[in-house]
Amino acid sequence: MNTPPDPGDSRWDDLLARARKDQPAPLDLAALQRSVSLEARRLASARRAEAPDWTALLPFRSLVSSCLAGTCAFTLIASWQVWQWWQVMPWAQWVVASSGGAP
Amino acid sequence: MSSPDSSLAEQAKAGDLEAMNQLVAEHHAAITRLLWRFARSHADLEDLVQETFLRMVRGLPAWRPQQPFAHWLQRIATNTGRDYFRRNRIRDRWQAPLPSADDAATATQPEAVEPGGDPAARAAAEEVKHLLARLAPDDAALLTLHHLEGWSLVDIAAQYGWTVTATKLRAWRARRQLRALYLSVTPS
Repeated sequence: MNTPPDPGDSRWDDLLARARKDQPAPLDLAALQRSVSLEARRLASARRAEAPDWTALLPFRSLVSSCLAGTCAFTLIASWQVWQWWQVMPWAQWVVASSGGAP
Repeated sequence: MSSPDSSLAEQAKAGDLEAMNQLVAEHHAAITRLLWRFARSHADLEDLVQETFLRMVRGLPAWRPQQPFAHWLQRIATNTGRDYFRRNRIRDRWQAPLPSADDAATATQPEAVEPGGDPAARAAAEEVKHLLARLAPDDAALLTLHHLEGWSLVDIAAQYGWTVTATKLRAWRARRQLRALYLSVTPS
């Protein structure tokens, strides 16, 4: 595939050569550095703020009371289940007999 | 062995503001020169340079020391330039019709308020930019880097993540279109 020649003729080459010489005026470096620093600080504080957000979602008091409630419920259900199964165990009668009463 | 740039970038990545400012000071001139090829005005150039460095700050956590920092930053800058062309294309489409071929000659005059050095060079750059702005944004970005920055098509392909074949084809079509535009605004 042949590449088409650049637009026009030598005038185009001259135009490009002149255009390449164009240089921008210098920018305000201090202002640029200030905006970069501000953005870096904003990002850093946003990252720091993420951790407290998680603790807000799971406050300590709620967490403790939820764990206590869960443990109590588990103990209650487990005890009831154990009591149910205890009576049908083949060795339950032997324990009852040897202990002289209910387990 | 890590380059001074890499160690500075490592420090900036860890949150060292001083290192970040030093990176900006070292690279802002090169980035400004590169983005001047894309910008329509000095105000736009300021915005583009600022946007590039803000993207740098946001992207630093993803930067890896295996990557040369200057290349990584240059890629951010060329992507910022391409995004600028895309935004301008959308804005031009919604705000006003594209100028006709007759308007092009008058539009190439540099603005009086624009600071700059050589007026002839500025006028030529304005004329080329004006023509490039009438191409599709990706084509304009390609030819901006190729014609005004002198990049090879292979380098441009690597920069934008295109295949070399696709880049050559895109360049061929874009140059043909540019040729037609140039001939339409230039008296024979």
